[in-house]
Amino acid sequence: MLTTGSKLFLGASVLSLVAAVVYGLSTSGGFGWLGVMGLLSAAIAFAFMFAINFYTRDGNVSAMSPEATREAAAGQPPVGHSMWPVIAAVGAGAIAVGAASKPIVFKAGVVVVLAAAVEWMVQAWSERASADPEYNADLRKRMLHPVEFPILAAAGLGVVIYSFSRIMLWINKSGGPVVFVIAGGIVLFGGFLIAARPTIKSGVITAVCAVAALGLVATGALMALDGQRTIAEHPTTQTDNNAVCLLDKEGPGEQAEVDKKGSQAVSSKASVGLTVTFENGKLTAHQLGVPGNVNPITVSRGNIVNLIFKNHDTVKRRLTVNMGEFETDINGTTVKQRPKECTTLVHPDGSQFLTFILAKPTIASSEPYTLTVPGVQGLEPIEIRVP
Amino acid sequence: MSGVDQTVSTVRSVKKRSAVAVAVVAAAMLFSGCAKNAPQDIFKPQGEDAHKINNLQLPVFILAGVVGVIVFAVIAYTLVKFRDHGQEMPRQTHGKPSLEIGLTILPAVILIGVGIPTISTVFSLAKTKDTQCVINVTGQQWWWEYEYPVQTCGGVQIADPIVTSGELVLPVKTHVLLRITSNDVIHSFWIPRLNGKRDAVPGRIHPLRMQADHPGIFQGQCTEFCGLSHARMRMDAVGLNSDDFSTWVSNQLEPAQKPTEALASQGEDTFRAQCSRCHQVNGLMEENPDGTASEKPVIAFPDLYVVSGNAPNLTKLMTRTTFAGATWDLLTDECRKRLHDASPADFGKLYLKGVTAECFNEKDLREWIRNAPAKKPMFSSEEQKNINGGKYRGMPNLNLTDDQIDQIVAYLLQRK
Repeated sequence: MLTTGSKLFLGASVLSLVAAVVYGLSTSGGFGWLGVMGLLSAAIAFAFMFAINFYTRDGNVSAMSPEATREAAAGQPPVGHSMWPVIAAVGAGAIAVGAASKPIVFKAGVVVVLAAAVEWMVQAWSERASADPEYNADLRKRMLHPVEFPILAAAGLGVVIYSFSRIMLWINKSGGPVVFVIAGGIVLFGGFLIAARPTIKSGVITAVCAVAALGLVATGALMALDGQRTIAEHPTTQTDNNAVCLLDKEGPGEQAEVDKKGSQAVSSKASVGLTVTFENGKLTAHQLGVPGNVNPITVSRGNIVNLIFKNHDTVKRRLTVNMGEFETDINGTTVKQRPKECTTLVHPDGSQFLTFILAKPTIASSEPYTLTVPGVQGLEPIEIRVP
Repeated sequence: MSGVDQTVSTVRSVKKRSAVAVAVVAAAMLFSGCAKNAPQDIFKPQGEDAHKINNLQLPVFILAGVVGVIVFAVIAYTLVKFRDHGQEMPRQTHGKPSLEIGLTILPAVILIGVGIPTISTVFSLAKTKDTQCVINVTGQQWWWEYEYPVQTCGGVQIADPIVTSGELVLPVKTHVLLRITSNDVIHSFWIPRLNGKRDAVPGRIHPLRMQADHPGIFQGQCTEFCGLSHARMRMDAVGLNSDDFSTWVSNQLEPAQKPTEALASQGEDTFRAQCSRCHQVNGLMEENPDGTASEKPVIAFPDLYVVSGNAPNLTKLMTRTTFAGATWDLLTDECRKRLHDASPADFGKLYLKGVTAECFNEKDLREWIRNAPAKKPMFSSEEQKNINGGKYRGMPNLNLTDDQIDQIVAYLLQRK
């Protein structure tokens, strides 16, 4: 006589076999064969499970032995209700919603369903692993805690970081450091208090941490809903349009730099060789490590020159590098070229990063290499010499 | 002898041989510290900043040595005294506050004792306000370039920038500030007897103070692995007194003169055709179609051929004593020894003579010109150039004939 479990697997095996035949007849090509092979593999696996269940009589103890039934692992009643079906249902709902809305929701639903499936399976297995409920509970912990704790910790940390980042992106730039310092101070002070009172109850610490975490997440969520502050990005240099470098106003399609700091990477701005300042109608250059202002400046041939231009004028200004004058033969005609590079217009009290290379020595050019600010009458430029 | 005895004897023999080998290696390491010819010895400072470093490192090394000896002695005593020879397990104890506190406070006190002078020295070495001379230092595969901006350097006026390579010439007893950067990959500049090392990073300027106590040559070595010839990327700092430095500056600012000898004149033509694509010689003029010199200077364009975008300026090659990343001498062994052994009083005059015909080490320069990559590993074959985006790393083999090499050598010998 077939047992209940073996009937289930026999049915699944037959169904897979029929499905393989139908699929094979209804599809063609490599993908069809792939499906047929998959369904046939499933049919064989189910058949194998049917054979095991049939042989072991579903692992049931004989009904003629009540004592053995009571002590058998498979004979134990369920420990209690499981939350995993509910969570799996939520995940399934997220999959459905995500399929119609955002991919991220769909992906989150898949993760939730997979996690719930694993938890549910392990729980169901562990609750009947033996006749001892305590041992079973311990078994589940040993199985899942090494996985659950790191994942939960990472997820919790991620939520905290994400919430904090939303807060920092919401507040303005000058307020950011203040909030950071205050938050760090509170954490340090809290840690100090806890360390100073070793007898403090763990429940109090848990409650404080929980309230702080809730506050952080709630604030982060609110600020995420409100949206981060506007961070405009604009090019900071003009290298493809020499005419713009001669203008003291925006060129066609050009936007003035909006970030008070140069919008290049921090690493680029670190250890720049030169800081050029325009103030009171004068242009001055300061070289890293060299006392006082320098004019002329000497730079290496073929080497990257990084500088920061600071505009301390009352109107927007740009810094232009006049990179000499060279004769070039174009289709048999000698043409004089005057390459230039420049920053975009920099707001008053703004600064901007500029990088350029002078590949030829000064003697190769019929005009000196200079740094200048367009539109300023009588300005003494800074000469650049390349040996 | 039984089998067991034989095994024991063999083990003892192996142990003895191992102990002898370890002792020989240890002795070699120990006695290598006594070498007289050690130009990069960090314990022989010859500059203000190197003295500061040495004044810090010596007591720290002594202190660390004493602590190390005590720790190893205690460990050795414990290992021998309490080794397992079948005795009963001793009584196990846990915790001894007085000992634990003592072993926490003692290292803390030692660290504070080391930390205070360390921080003080670090800040002192970073000082730039007293700079008396600025030199731009640029590392590239596999040589160093030095540029002297327009300035008054140690009391000597430099009216136009000077560029040289291989040898960093400094006025002695002057606070020189090196502004170090790189044209290609990360290098590191180190003249052990004058100061510590400083990385040369593309796009960044790293300042380093340097001062030489007396005239002489101070050798160094790139200390950041930078490719095939990292080991052959050396540098010499040359200290000159104020008068000699002034003479050197004047000479460096003069353009190259037209060769006077026939072979050297032919060498100028060959140089113009073969070498001037990458190597600049200030004063070398282009030729008119009728063979006369034009008013237009020959401008090298290494940026088209070399990854670093640069090649050594050879205008004053023979005022230096080395070439190819300060790896080979332009002087014969005898003349080199005479120069390196010269007293501080005589050094400047000897150095300013440059490479004379009788002191010229022609062999190495000739080999270099014949096939540079064969002498110094570089990434500069035609195949490698294609891998490198059409540019060489280092100097390629120009496949020059013997006659061309003769001509170029004769031309270069007059570059001073």
